[in-house]
Amino acid sequence: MDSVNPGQTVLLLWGGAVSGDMVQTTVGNLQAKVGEKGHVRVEHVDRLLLSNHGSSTFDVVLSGTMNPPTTVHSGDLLAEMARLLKPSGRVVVCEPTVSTDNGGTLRTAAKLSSSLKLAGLISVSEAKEVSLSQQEQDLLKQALSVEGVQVVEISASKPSYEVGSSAQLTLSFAKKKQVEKPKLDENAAKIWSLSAVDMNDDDIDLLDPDELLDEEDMKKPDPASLKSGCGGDTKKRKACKNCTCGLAEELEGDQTEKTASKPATSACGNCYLGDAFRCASCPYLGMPAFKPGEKITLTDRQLKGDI
Amino acid sequence: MDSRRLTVLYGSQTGTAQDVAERAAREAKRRHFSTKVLPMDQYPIASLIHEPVVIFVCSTTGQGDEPDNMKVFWRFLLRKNLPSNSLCQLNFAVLGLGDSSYQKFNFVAKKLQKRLQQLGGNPLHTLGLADDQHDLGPDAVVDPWLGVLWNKVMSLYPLPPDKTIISEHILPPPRYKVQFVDGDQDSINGLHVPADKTGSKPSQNNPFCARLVSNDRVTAHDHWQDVRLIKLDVSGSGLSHAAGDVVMIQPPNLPDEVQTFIQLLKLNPEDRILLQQNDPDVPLPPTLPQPCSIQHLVEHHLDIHAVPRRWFFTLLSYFAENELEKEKLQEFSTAEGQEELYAYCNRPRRTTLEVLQDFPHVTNTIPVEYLFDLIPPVQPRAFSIASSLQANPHEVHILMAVVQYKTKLVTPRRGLCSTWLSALNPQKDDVRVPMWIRKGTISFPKTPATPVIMVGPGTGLAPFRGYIQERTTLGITGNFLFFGCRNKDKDFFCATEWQPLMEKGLLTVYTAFSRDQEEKIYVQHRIKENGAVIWDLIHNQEAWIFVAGNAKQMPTDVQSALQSVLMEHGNMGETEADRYIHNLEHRRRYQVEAWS
Repeated sequence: MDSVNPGQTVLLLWGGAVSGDMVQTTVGNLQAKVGEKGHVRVEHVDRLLLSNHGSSTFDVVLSGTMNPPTTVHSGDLLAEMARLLKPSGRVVVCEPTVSTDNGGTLRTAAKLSSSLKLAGLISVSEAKEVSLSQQEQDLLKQALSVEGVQVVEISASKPSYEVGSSAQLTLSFAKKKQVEKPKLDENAAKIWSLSAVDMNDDDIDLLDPDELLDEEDMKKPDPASLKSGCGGDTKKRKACKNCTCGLAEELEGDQTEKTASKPATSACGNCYLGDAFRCASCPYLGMPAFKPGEKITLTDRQLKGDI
Repeated sequence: MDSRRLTVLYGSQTGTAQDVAERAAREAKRRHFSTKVLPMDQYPIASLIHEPVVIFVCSTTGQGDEPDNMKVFWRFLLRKNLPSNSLCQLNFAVLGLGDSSYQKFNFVAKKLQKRLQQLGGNPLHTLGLADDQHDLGPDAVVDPWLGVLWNKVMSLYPLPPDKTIISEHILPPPRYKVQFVDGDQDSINGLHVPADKTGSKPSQNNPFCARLVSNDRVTAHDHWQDVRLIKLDVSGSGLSHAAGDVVMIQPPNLPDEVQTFIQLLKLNPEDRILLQQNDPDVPLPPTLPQPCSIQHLVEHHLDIHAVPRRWFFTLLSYFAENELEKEKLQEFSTAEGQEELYAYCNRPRRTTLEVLQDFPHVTNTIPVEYLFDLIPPVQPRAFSIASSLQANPHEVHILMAVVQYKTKLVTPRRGLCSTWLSALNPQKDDVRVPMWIRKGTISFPKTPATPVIMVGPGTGLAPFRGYIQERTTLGITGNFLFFGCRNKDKDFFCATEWQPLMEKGLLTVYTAFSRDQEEKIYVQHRIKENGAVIWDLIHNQEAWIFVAGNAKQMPTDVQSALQSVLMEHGNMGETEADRYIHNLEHRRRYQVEAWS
């Protein structure tokens, strides 16, 4: 956090296993540091590329600085972070790494360093080990399902001059699958496009759509396949969460007898909440929510409907 | 990332297929595809040959028909002149939504799949056939189908290993950036201002505000159904229409609901907001003024009256902090919770506003920018035009039943558009109705000599009133109307209009009053009774037959009646009669326009 000064514009990226509370606290601290003249923006790291912020707008970009970080920063992501930085701006990146390259999703600290350089950043610092609490380590293991992970922090800067146009670096850590697309037949394309110019088809010859279907298409699904497989009552009667009228016990005890008469008053006390929370035997079903203790009468308007 | 493009195209009648399509689009975005999602008819079909991946979601409606917003697209695909290798670059998948209690179960999806393959498209996945009849509804098929589809798509278009699929548990960014602006700012440099549209033809993005001429009830006052004949003045609009065309009406929200919503969300109706795109594939709403007042937003744009869908509950759950509410909202987001959601929301037709009233805590915390993601824009409503320019120049008439019915909710359900229209009083206020015209799917014969048989019970009469006006004004005979309603003196509307025409021999009317006697008499009974006349018209005089109206069973019953007429008077067997009708259909001599 030493790279944040008053009056600066900071971008804080967060992801995966970080709690909302921690984000809030961190933002608070940053806001205090940058003061009134400064500005703090928060973005989910996966959303950054979609957000399309303006170029050269941030003094500082922090990514993965809240524990535990789970994001492996792709080439595209680092290039984007570089684009968003003002010239001489600073980026601090924390990432889970492994000690030897084993072809999995995580990489070594050295690889992360190279990625930062390849993204156009300079003054790449040494990788500093970040110590995590036991709880943070557990969260990390849970999120990544990998053993022997070491979180490192590396900082870097954007050159003080605007580098030409930032080309998207296509760093792929796997061979790009070339999807072989058949070539469009020029004539076919022409006919299609020309046809599309005239959308008035009163006089154009059309296929009989019924001829598209064969015997198989006429078949209906097997009724057995339409069952939900739970076998029970399809019209489930629900009890409210804190049922006190006995419906919950009744449903649990698998009684076949239905409740003989509806209670005139609420037994469970949830009636005021609205249909979403009422039990199946609630006398107020169908009516809007009301304040507890409020006297409910149906207005003329409700009875007659509006004309 | 240019090659990572995916398009979702849908054909949706009631919004269900649209909902599923938008879900597929969200899942695509989480997998880092640049994704567009739109109705098939809004997609520039010339571009289809260049699309790498398209997911089609389409429901089957009515009598095995495609939804309105894919009719044009589908007709294009059926053109015989399209080369069979046109779509060789296209990888596609089709997901159909239907109901297997209908004979023509998912016919639209089945036909689409076949035709796309015929045109050289490459299916990524087997055809998905979702079924309302399943215990757990369409999601029983949709959920696993999407799961398998993504596996296949991801193996063809894998993410680089350092990128991961964005979790569905994080709140997606809102589709628009929303700024509150000060009172006097009318335009901001560089931001979107709706283009000047004067002079262009009225359309959904530029409706014509027609003056209301009259709004008269045509059913008896003691009859349970309120049917109106509404006349609009379209002079100066540049609009014209032909028989069978449809008028689109853009209604505002009902005033009491607007007020309740604004108060419930503690909004200030006079606040003004400016929108900016947050996603290049999601354009700004074309008819929303910039900046826009909260009053206008709620009154004209947000469909607070609509029944919310599954995604509404999922999105709302991200904002919920109250434990009870959060739990319930999350439950409604799961596959297992869909049955309960249907019972809570869809079956009783609970409105978005009513749902928000049931969840007061989270409603208090909804950020304004997410309103556009939670609540879709108000949809226009379609009505068959019930008049002809020949008889009523500069006017468009609508024959409309006011929609009002009860579900298990205490407050009766109201149709938004019909309730609004029925309350308009041309004598008291200078009321304007935003409208435009859409070409109809009914096509009437071009030759005047062709006799026409029209079966239009109830408000099904609407398109035929227009056509009869046209033909009789031009002196053309051969018009045979079969009209059905409940009571001769309660809801036999337009009866006085037919009198003079019948006397002049221009029109023959056969009526069926279902409740005027003990046994029910419907239009199909009258059809059978007059079989000889009908047979002669169809077989010897090349007559065209039209059926229009609002009933699940009526079109089927009418077709059965026609079939028996053919069998009895044409001496045909059942299969032969069936094929005869099918032949008439293919030649557009038998057309059914049924709405639900």
